[in-house]
Amino acid sequence: MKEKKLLSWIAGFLAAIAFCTLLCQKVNFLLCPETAVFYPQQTSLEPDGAQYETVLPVACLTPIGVDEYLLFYVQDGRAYQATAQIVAEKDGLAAVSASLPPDMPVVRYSSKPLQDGVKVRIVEEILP
Amino acid sequence: MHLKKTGWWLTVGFALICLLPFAGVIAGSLRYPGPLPVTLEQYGRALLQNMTFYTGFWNSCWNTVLILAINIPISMLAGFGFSQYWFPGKDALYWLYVVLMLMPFQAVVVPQYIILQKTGLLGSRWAVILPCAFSTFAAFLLSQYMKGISRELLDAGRIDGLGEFALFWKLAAPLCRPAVTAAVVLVFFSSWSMVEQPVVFLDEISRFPLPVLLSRSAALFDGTAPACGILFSILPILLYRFCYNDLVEGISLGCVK
Repeated sequence: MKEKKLLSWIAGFLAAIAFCTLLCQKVNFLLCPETAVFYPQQTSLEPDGAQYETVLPVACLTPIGVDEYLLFYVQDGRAYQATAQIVAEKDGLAAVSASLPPDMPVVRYSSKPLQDGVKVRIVEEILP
Repeated sequence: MHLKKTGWWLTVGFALICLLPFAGVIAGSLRYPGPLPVTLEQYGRALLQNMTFYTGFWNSCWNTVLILAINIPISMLAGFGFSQYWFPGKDALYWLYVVLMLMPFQAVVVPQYIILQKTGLLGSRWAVILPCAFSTFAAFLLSQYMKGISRELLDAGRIDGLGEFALFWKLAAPLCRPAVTAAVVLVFFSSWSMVEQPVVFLDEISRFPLPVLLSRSAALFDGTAPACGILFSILPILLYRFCYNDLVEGISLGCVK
């Protein structure tokens, strides 16, 4: 009798946790900001033709001060913020000097305001 | 009378000191930045928004279940063998079991690490499970308990035509229920709150059990770590609540001979 009661309590608890796990997955999916990302490129910007390490759309940058911009890059499913300075700009593209990890996508659009370290879902990769 | 009263107050005082950390965690779990001084928001966030909690919780569950599933049957058989049979080197082997049981994890961590590295298990779930699954504590406890099984009873079983495994399964195992329960509960507690082995043998956060995540990566819990700790304590408390009598009987009869 006691064993049955113990097993039913434990089974009930584990079932509740399993249900909450599924619910949490769904809630996280719904709350997670959807983002469109752009992979920074190493390319040249006309007319000077100089090669720049990191070139990305100007729309990825949010001004936060004089000649200083904020951007978010995505690593392991989370968005992390970084600051950048524009070195050159042309036709909606900007060459920036920023300390970004190599080959990390930069957020172009987000369905919700982002904070440092927040989980995000990539729904679109914007091609150059 | 005065001495008795002083003793009672001392006991209550020590009990309260022991309970203080747990009370602190409970109090901490009822606070969250906001207008309300007492709130269940941490529990809501832990249960509905924090996948890190579930990753750690289910990792702990799998580790514990697999350790118990391997350790307890093997320990029961080993305990029966040590208590009822004689074979060459039995005493030396038993002595080795006791020494291994008394050895702290820090003493065996390097050889275990090298073996796991050579076998390619380092970093996998089995790196945590296998060393714990073959720990010798449960075998020692069960062999001590099984020494109390009367030889006449087993001989009667043999006369009735039972084989050696049937003797173990049909006679010895049911008689050892309190000791088996005690072994299950004690192995469960040690596996459930395991910290050192995962820290040394695992490298991916997604494989860490909850105690390691709570102690190492509190930032992942977004301020809900106390509530996660309380939720994580429910299963051991349930087990202790229902197995208390068997636990006491198993330990006391198993270890006092």
